[in-house]
Amino acid sequence: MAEGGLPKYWPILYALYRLKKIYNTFNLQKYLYLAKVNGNAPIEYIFVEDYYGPCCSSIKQDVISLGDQGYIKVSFENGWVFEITENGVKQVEDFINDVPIEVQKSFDHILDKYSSLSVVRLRDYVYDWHIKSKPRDEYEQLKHQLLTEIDFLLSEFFHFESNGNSLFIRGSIDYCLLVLKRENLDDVVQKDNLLTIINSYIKKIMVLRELTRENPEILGHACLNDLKEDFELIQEACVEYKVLSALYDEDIDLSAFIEE
Amino acid sequence: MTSESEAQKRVIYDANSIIYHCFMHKEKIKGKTMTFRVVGLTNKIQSLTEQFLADGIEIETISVVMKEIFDKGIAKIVDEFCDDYHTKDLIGLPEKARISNKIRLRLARKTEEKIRRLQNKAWFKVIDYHADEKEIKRMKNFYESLSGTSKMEEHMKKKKTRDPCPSDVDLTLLIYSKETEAPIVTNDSDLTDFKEELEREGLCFGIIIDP
Repeated sequence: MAEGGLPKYWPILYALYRLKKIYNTFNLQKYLYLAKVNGNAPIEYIFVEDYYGPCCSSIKQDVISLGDQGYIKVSFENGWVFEITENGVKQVEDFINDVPIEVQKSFDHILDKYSSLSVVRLRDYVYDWHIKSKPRDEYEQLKHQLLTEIDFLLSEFFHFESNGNSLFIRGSIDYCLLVLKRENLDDVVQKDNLLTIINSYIKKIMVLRELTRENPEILGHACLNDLKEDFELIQEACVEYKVLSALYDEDIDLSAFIEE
Repeated sequence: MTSESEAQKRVIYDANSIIYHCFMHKEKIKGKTMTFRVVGLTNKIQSLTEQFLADGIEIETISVVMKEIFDKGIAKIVDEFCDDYHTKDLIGLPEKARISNKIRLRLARKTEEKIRRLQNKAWFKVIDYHADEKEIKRMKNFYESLSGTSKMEEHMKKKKTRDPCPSDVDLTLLIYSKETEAPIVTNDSDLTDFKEELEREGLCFGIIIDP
């Protein structure tokens, strides 16, 4: 229990109570992190360093659990969407008086300040603040390693039966390959951020490849929503940093994307 | 069972009919706008759909068909479209070149979005239906009984398969057609190659071959 007997999940419902709807887990994680660190809110979640900045896996688990209890509506529209329900509002109204006014004010300030930022800007802010940049040649080594890994994954997944999931994996890593070839960012935070999220994505796909090694057919039955959300973030970062258009943008010229 | 007047007011679309209907995308390449569609199939199913709607006929499918569309159907048709030399010719690629995985994913995604929008149309319904196991078995028995006939041998050779039975989704569609007294609109050879036999045996209400 946090301050005044508050349930552990209180900041999740509180953030949703104030914003009504939060798009993607990344934003939710970062609002809670900033409320804890910048806003001194009594938040029990322990954040650890991850590819995407400070993160706490219990938050996602608690969100799913709150969804099961009917306090949150959880849906997927290219990324996870969390929306407070009437029951969720009632639940917040039950505990809100136990949240000190100064905590509410600082939490509200964090939400006001950061909820208007795009996901990429929010990530840059948290990154700029927490991640120290690496020497430039480390980025080149990382890029070289990623290009090799993507080549390997493309050849591996090329032999998988064609279905929605295998097509998604092949297409998304092929996009990452082009991004890495095009990327020439001078801004170290942007470069670090972009390479880090692509690295994280590719590592997850490597794990997926291992898991499906003995039985490739199971790929067709897997739920890849978390990977789809990650791929949306990669595309958003590419657009924000002017590296490459998003693959799903309606009004793009396909010339750059056509041939292998 | 439905009355005859009710039955005549609806048709059942299979996975390919739905995908072809939605596979029409405007894309810009080197500044030039072109339309991607499956030649000979998209236009025909769209015209047929317009005709059905003009005649006051409702279009429906069953939930297992929708699942099949998103699991495999779209990917299969996107790959067929991208591997077709007409497509490569349209976008100025040599026949031996391969259209990238990125483009395949983009087309799949656009098709998915159109199919999701189709699900919101008043004239298109998705019915949650699961066939009885006994009925599935009966359908399988029918297809297996055709083993050894020249028609089935030719069919299996064409499909490069050793199994005379179609997928459970196809069998469920046939059973649904029989139960609801509505015809299936399809170009699937598992159904169209045996249209006469299926209709004669009363194993489905009817098959409309499209195109």
